[in-house]
Amino acid sequence: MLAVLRLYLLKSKRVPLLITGIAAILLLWLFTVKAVVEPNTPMHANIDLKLANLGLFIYILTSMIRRENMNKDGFLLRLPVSDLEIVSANILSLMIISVITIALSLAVSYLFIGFFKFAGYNVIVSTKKLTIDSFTNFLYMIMYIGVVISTNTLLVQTVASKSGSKVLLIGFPILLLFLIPTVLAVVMHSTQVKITDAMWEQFWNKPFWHAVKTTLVYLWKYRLIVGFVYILLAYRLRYLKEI
Amino acid sequence: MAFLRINNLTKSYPAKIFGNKKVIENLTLEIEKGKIYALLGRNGAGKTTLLNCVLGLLNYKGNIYYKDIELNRKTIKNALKTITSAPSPIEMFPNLSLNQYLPSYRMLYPNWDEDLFNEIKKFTEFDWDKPFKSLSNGQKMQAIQVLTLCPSPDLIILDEPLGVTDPVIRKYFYKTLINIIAQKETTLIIATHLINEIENLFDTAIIMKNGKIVLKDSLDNLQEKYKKFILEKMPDRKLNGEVNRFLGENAILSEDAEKTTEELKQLGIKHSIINPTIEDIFEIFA
Repeated sequence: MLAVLRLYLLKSKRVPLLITGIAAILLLWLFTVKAVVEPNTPMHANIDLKLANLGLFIYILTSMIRRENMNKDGFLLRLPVSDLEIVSANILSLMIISVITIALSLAVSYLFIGFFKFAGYNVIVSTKKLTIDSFTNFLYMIMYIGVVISTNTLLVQTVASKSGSKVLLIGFPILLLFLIPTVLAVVMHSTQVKITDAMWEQFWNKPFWHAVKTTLVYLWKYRLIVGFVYILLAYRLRYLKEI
Repeated sequence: MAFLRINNLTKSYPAKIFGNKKVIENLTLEIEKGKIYALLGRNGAGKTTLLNCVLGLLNYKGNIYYKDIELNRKTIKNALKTITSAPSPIEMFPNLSLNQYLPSYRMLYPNWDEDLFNEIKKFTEFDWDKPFKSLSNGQKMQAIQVLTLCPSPDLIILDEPLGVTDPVIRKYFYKTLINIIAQKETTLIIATHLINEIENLFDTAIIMKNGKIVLKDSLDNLQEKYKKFILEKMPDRKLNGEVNRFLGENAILSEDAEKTTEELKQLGIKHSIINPTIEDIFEIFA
């Protein structure tokens, strides 16, 4: 595993430096640094860098796509290493790089703040925006992107060709979101049968559908965990030797 | 006992939605130790798929035995210590140089041949510290050759190993391969379209067509069995012993030279008989 970990770390050695700039801006945005000119001037310089979030989002997307391309068929799979070793080495390398990235980001952020302080500004670091919600929203965003990408990979590998996967991935949600309600509306209109709340309640009270509803409610409630577990499983399958 | 034995191998790929396309069907093959096999076939014949199945890169139906041990998820790791294959350059990490790859390879392959490594290093003329993406296509192939040959494997699997390399590098590569095989009794399976270049290299040719093996024999046997007739003009009908006709030339391949000669004499067509090259055999059977 060490041999593979070494390769992964060498491969990603530039990633911390690339990502650190963006991460530092994001950190500054999260902390809302206010640089105020002393004494008591009305001039406020709120560094509000919402665009940094978008930048990070785009970066993560492109890096994920690149990772797929770089190891298209996986020369690592030709080496005498097990699937577990490859997956563990990859995850471990990501963890190591994340730690380095966070450390570098903090250092760069303090450099920014130091620059303002050195220039004579009174720098106030506010943690108002640093809420649990902002973090969970970010995690949800990553999870949704991961689920879409993982599903696409799984579909390509197991069920359909690349074009088939796109058809399924785009077609299925469209079917679910638009076609079914439309068909229902047309049927209701033509038959003049009105589906009332009581009918829905009756439907969901049937034992089977009640179990389905309860399961779906729980899955949705814990979608963050379910989503990441799904991504990990899909990731494991992505690197699994097919034999 | 066969060194590598493939029994009833079938491999399908997903095609369209929920559909399947069989690329290899019920293929059975035996490979002997210390021999060189040329795996030939037209594009899409199933050569790469077959080799990828042996390397454990694809799932399949059937059985593959290497040194009498069936390859599966548990045994493949150990088997790959003595089987090497040349990956396509796009599979490699582009930012890593050849020198950065080497320590990991030395860790993974206990039989790493340092003498061979030094010998190849003397021959190569590019900077081993340059990242892969900065190398020319030919240099990338050379770098991959280092990683494929130096682990001293018992079985080398090469799928179009030389790509766009220049003739000098190709000649050196074949020379190195022959030396390794002669010294270490290494088995080689090479799939290539540069058929003429390997004519003097292989012991057995395996020709695949539509996922099946249509021919497996040595060139000597093939030349004994088949003869190429170069004719003054092509007859209208199929001749006795004729297997097929060559494209763009007045020539046929015959599996019964005596009968073909006799009929040509009766038809009054002047002809000459030569031994077919492996390219001729390929053209007719693939």
